[in-house]
Amino acid sequence: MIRSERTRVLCVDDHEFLADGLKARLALTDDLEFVGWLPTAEGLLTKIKEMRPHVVLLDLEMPGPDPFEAMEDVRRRFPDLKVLVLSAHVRDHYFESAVAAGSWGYLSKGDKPEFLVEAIRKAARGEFAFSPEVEERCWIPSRGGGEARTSRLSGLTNREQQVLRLIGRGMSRAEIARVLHRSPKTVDAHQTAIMNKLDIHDRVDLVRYAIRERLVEP
Amino acid sequence: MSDNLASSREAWIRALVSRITLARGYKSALGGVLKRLCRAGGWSYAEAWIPTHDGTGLKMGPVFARSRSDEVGRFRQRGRELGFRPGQGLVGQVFLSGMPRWVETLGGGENELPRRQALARDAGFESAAAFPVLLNDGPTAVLVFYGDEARERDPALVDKTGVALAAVGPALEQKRVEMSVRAQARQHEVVANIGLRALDRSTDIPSLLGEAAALAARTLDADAAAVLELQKDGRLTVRASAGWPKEALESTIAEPYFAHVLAAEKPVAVPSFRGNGNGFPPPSLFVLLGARSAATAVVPGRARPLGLLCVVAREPRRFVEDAFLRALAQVLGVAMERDRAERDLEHERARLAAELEASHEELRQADRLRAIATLASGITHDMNNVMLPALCRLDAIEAAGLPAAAAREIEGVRGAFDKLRKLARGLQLVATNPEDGVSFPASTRLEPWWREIGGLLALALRRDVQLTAAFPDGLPPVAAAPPQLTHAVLGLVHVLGETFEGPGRILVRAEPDGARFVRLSVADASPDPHRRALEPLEKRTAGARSFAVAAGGSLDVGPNEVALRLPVAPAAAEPRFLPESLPRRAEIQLKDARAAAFVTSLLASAGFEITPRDKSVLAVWDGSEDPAAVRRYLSENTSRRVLLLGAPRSPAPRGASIVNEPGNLEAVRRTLGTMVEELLEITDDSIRTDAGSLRR
Repeated sequence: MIRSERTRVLCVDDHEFLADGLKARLALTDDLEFVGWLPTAEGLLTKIKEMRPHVVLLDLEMPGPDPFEAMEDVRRRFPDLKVLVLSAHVRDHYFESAVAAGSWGYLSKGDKPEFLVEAIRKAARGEFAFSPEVEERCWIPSRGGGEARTSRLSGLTNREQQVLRLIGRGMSRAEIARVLHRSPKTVDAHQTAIMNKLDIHDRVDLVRYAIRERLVEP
Repeated sequence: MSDNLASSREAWIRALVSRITLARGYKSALGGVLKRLCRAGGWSYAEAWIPTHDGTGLKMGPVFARSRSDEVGRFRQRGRELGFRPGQGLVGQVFLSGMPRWVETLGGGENELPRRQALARDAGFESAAAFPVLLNDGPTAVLVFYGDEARERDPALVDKTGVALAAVGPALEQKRVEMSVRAQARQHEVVANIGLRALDRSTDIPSLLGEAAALAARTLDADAAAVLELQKDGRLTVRASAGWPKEALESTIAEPYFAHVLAAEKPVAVPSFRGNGNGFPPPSLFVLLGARSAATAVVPGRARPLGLLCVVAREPRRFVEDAFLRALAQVLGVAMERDRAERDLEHERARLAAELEASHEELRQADRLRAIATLASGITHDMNNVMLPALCRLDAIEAAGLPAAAAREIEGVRGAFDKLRKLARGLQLVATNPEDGVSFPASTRLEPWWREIGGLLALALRRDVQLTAAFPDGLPPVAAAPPQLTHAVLGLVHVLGETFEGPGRILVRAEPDGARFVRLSVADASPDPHRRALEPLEKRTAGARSFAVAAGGSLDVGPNEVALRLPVAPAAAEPRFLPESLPRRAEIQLKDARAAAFVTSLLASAGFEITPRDKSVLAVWDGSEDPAAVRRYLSENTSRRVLLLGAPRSPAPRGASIVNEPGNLEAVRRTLGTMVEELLEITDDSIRTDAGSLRR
């Protein structure tokens, strides 16, 4: 797709100085425009409505709502918008969850700025964009030592994985319910299903499991 | 003979018999008789000769001497060293004939005198008389008396002594039998006592074995006894002993005598290792003792013999106490079996304790590494969060149009950032916990790996410990993922570094170990290598050992070096892309724009060019594609592969891969990965044949 207008970019990252740096870098281009910044995914849909970005750069390790959940919401409400994950960590599970949630690419904060700029352009054109680090791992058939656990995790639905991530972040059932716009009873049902599937029957152990699996950073 | 005289003789004989009855043992009874007869007969010296244990000869028993001169002492001592067979010498002749003999004078040519009589003359004796102690079935001992002067035969004295000995003979024999019964009872007591204590769990077995050896020697009147333990390798070691020289501690079942004993079902006595004996040379264990004879019984165990019980004498002797030896050996078997079980248990306990300690150490190391990984992860996160905006700002500053000098400074800052980025990459390897679900190639090229990680590992050492490396060119990759290798080497460098007490140097060196392995060593390369115990390195390298074993290699620990022996990675473990000879062309026809973009991006990263259908080797289509078209595409070239996203139309085309949920891009990625792997397995020959048309 050839876009005549400039590509509008929204950044969601809890580090304001990072957003400012990106803003400065995008300002050097003729075709990209930094239109705004959010420190969490809270209010993302409203912000998108307001700023009308073409591309959203989304961090994964932030306080506030679950970014994967936010990605799914964005995909549902704004199907033409391209979300690119921009994370300091490249983890298989993050990558897999991001692709499942509707992202159009996975970028590392260790990438060079010019690579990020080009990745934003690719996403805007409707192409996927992977960091070289991510790209290399895409073609590794074996999943190394985490295979057994990965298969246990893969038994969870996307929603259950979201709930598990939020549990791992120490959120209460009420908080999770608020973030997911579901009732606490629905959250309980998800939690029960997760416990049965993982054969873990203690909430503290669920938190430990989520941390161990790097669903959340400790 | 007058009545008075007869009455006096009877009283004297009764007194003799009474003393025999009250005597503590046979020898003291005989000694008492000897003394009284010597005095009554006016002799200066008297000695008793009694049959040896095996009954083949006579050995000297009790002695009585009125004089304590050196000559007499020597004469008595020489007698102890002698033995007479029946018929041999004065003693043997009297024993054989049962008749007394009188030697009026010991004078005459030396050559004509029997040896003992010559010795008697040298001791100052001039006359002698020998009397048998008779029982119904023959003599049981011979008493020899010596006088200081030549003395004519005294028939009265001969008669008196003969009568007295005939009278006391039964009493002496009774005493001998009584003592024999007592000895047997004592033997039973010994066996029962040792046996009961062997069953008592509170008994200290080594002490019991020592006591048993001492009792065996004492009970059998032997010079020494030992309990030998049979080791698994066939060695016989002295486990407990009495009267045994400390130097004689080990032998082997290969010694003919011991081999014979182990094969025999009952104790084996050797009367004399010299001469004819049983034809056995004395075992080395006995030589140091000067043993001339021995008896040995097998100490039995449940499954196999546990050892041997030996009693030895320095004189030729036939040990006849088979029953005692066997019974004692059997109870010792109980004790030794228990002892062995306890030692095995103790050994097993020690092994398990060591294993547990190693596993704790491994856990501690894993915890430490996990903590380091978490820390490194946080640092990497923050570094990336800082570096990215900083580099963005640099771009902005540069774009603002700077004077040349400032631009050079900016270039310098970029150089510093490059170094920082390298450090972040290394940190990422440390930050990746081997247990994380993070995919890495299952192989590592050591030289580039070290370039990323070496500087970082140096930080794990004290400032006065240098870290250097030597990696030759052309090393093959090793079959281990970089994070795991990093953690293992970090652990080894850290552990070795901690053993340095002062400044030093650690060298990490890699070298081929045959064609199939690479040896990666971490060594103390200080000019004066530190002396260190092996044990801490052994204990604290458990994690690295687990890593090496899991990779198919091993870990060698030396005093100054720890080396990982890692297998060379098979070619398949290297990240691979399609061979140049196969045209990397794919056609993608998908309605879902995101899925199409995803597949395009993936295939592009593997070097695929997106081409029209007829030029492609791989096609990714919607499941709704006409099955006939799929069949046609596949039939045109056997190298081709098709992936259908979404449920295919019926009938499903054979030979195509299918992902039923087109939106499940993770499943698409995995399936494509498998298909590309399959394409990689196409041989060059088949590519030449089948893919020729595709190249044109």
